[in-house]
Amino acid sequence: MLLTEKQKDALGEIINIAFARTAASLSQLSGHRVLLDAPEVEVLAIDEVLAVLGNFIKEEVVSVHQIFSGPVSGDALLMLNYEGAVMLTDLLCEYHVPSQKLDASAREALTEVGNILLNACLGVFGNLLHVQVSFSMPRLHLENLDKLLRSITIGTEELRYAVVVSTAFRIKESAVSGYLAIVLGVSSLDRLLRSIENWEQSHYA
Amino acid sequence: MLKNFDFNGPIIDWLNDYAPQGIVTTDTALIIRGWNRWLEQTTGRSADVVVDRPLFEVFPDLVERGLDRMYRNALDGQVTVLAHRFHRYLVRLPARPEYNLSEMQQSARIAPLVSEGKVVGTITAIDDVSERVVRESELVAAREEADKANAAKDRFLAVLSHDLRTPLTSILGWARIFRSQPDEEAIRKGAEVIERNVGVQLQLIEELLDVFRISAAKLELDLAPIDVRETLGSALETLEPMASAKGVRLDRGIPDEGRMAVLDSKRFQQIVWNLLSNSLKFTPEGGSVGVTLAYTDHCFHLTIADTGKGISPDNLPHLFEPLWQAEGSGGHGGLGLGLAIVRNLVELHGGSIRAESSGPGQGSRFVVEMPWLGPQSGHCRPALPSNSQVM
Repeated sequence: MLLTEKQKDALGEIINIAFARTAASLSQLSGHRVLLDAPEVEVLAIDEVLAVLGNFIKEEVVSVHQIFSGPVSGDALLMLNYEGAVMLTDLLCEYHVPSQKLDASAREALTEVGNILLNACLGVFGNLLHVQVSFSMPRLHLENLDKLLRSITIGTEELRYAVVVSTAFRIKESAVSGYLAIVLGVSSLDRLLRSIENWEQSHYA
Repeated sequence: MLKNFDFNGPIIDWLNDYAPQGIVTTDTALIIRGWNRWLEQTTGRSADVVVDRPLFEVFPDLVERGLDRMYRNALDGQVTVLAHRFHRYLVRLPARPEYNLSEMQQSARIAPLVSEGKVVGTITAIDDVSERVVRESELVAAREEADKANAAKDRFLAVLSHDLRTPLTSILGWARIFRSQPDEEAIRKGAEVIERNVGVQLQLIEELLDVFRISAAKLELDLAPIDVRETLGSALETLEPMASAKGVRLDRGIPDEGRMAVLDSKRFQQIVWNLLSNSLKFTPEGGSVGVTLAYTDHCFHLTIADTGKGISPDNLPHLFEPLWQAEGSGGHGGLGLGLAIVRNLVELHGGSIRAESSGPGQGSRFVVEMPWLGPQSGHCRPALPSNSQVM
């Protein structure tokens, strides 16, 4: 789906607000300065996501997944490749020995990181739409991207789109790339885009 | 127990009685409305004492640590995960004694309690993850140990390759000289160098073989009654030239009378030779090395004390570990096997060895205690079991 430049800018700006909140929370949590790169935003039909993200995530994707429901509903995901997930938890938890794999405590720490990011994004969207969104408990999945995307679309008839945001967590001179994806039905997306346009107009009026 | 029905119901009742985790519920004013059996048992506070009190009055620590924000977010519909690795615990509770932890390690989930689409309070689930945390730190420690051992092996192979090649380079050099100018003077001088280098390499290979024999428990002692004084004397004689070449005085404090002990003569000489050559190596010109032999009822004591560079307190505990070499001992070379072999040989004889030093520049002392009657006698064993092994 093609966004107008205006929609793209407005969406980027909204997500930047959420990312700034996330960076502040993660800095406080870890005791280190954490920055999140200014995101690049795209809106893709769910079928296109695999092709776009397939280059970044070749094997298993580590995802933190939260379902949200209310006047707008969908799935929010933070996705990292395995090495990135290990590195991010090592950097944030100040792990003195580099890990090779995600143990149970590392998975839980990553779940909290995803939870902070997804709460911030969905919180900003909720404020913008003046609606209260309910969140499910975040879950960490480790599976291939194709399977993950199929599991999200099971049981939905509505055409699904994903707001895909590529970013990087920057901590102590290291960067870990990842993707945020907010998967919505076409009506929720339409509502979101219209609210964002209105917000931008009132913001710059 | 849960009170005031907003928070009651068969599922909550079940969580109250059987949940293997702590469950605390509050209303929207963050007044505690539910406090399950797990919490009663682990905190020692019954629901009667806690229910109807403000959450932050019962746990003021939550506000001090900024976690009250999570409860306000929950009232806005947000779910929060509190990972053990970031927070250690949600509420401070004692850990079970077997874990040897200062407090119970926890992870927690804080979520809104929703009824008919409206947030009516919060629910918190607290998991005790102490066992997992202990297991994970044990795994990390084991991995660190394995990494250290690998690093020591890599270092060992690097030094070994270097030390095996160095004498060969010299031998090869002299072989080329013989070919190009085979005069008598060159042959005499070259033969000396070749002999010395072959000796160095032979000793290195002997040490390696000893290490492998010890680690495979294949080193057997050839025990026989020998005169300690006499055997020590002949070991000292072979080292006398090395001491005088270096300008180090060799002082002897040896009893007039000889006594018989059950020892492997060759290995005992190796102990003396290794300790003494080690002291000579680290003692500068003008210094001295003293060798003292003393007798007690069950054991004899051999002390080798030098005025050399000494040992820092940090290094003392590692001195007898195989492949270990102190920082700054560079220039003296070697694989760091000598003292490890000595300790193993002493212990095979049923004896013990310890090193003492007042610090860098203060010299060092090695004290060996050996039983008169061999390893089976049970005397002169170290007070504490040895915790390091060769390789």
